[in-house]
Amino acid sequence: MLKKQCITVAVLTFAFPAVLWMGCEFGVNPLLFDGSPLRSTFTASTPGNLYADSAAVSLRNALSGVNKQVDSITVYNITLLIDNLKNGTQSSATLTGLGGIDGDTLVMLTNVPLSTFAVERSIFDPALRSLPSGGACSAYAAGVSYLNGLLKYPDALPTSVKLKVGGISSQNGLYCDVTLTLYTQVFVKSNQ
Amino acid sequence: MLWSAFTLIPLSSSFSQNPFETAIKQLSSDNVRGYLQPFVDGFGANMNSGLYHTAEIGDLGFHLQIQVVAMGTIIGDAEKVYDAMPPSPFPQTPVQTATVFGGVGSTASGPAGLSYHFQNGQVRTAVMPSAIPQMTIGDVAGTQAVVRYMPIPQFDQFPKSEIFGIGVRHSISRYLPNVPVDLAAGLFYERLAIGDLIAATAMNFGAHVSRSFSMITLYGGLQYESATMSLNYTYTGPGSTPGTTVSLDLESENRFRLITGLNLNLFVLNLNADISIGKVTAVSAGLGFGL
Repeated sequence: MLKKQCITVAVLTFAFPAVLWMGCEFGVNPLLFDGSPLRSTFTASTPGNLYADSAAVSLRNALSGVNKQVDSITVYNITLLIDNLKNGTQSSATLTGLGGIDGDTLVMLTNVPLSTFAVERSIFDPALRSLPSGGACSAYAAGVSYLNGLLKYPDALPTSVKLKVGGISSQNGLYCDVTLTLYTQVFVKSNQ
Repeated sequence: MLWSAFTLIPLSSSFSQNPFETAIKQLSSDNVRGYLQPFVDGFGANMNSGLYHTAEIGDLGFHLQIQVVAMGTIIGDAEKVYDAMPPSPFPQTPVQTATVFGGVGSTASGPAGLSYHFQNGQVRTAVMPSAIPQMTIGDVAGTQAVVRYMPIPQFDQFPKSEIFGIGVRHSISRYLPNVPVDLAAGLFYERLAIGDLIAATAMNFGAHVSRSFSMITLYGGLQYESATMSLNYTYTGPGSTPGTTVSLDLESENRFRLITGLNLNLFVLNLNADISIGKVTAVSAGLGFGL
């Protein structure tokens, strides 16, 4: 009798939830994922004060680790890091230049000390618009718009895009690493 | 309770990480608290429901009842939204967005045309249900024990899980025989573990009252309760460095609850249903066999 009761309870315990969850909907909206950061590091190594470089970056790398059908991707942050200063490059040296993607500018620096980006920092930080040193860093909406336009259709992503950096330093001899990182959100297709 | 969590861990091709866990891991500790709070409140309310259906406890006698108890927490509009903070470089002002039970997440606008979209709600339901087997055994010196236990071995994408609960109820009526209603007090503790991501505990103590009319018993109670859900995961969201570990304790906001219900005693078969009102409203129903 007790065994029968236990079996009955066990069956009901597993049957009940199925009944209880009827009328509930799961996965009703697409899940959002953070895309893998798209990072490109440029090594400046020039005895002069002029520097320019470019690198191809695959936007598809943002989908690394996402194994669901992707609806769209958007950029929500871009950061800059200038570190690994060596061979006498001073952190107080200033840089005037730009970072861009294909033909569009993402960020413009005017007399910005290298120390401003000694730690990874968003180029959209409002405090960068007017620095204590008198310099300024401006992020360009056109560049962001161009990037989001490319990412809007993941199935038609170009093989790669060209990230470029370049500028003039206030001191001769510029030896450092410049890292530009794109942070994205990945929208997967709904189950509904 | 296991089933409540199970339904939020959908099948995926990877056992070690499923989409729900991935979504959670991208929320900062503050935002995951808000996103999951209604789930934690419902979880806690369910864990602390359905533990009794009468305050009558004999002084000495054989009492054994095996039940399956179903509970559900009502998901209202308040459980569908919370105030979240967008990440830098977005303006640091709270944005009302969807919880796990809500709709589409809100979008925060930032400089230079940037936008950040908060996580979307994933579950559309009017009730967050659970079910658990339960055994009540007694009566010795006006005392009963209540036990809940359900292990689920690892299968497919669902990790190894276990729920265990134990409680004790003691008759107060044996000290107040002239009171026309049955009185009892109870203390309960439960714990739940699902894989490596979720661990939860709940406890409550309270006063129970009941009055029987032939086969029907009206019962109720007032209890103080608490529930804590611990999340342990590696944060992969904005600004993260590899391997950043988040250990988060989410506390249910339920504290006091008033319970009222009805029990139908058909000798070896027992049916009961009750509703409890606190920070959230929960209902439970039980089907039991035994004496």
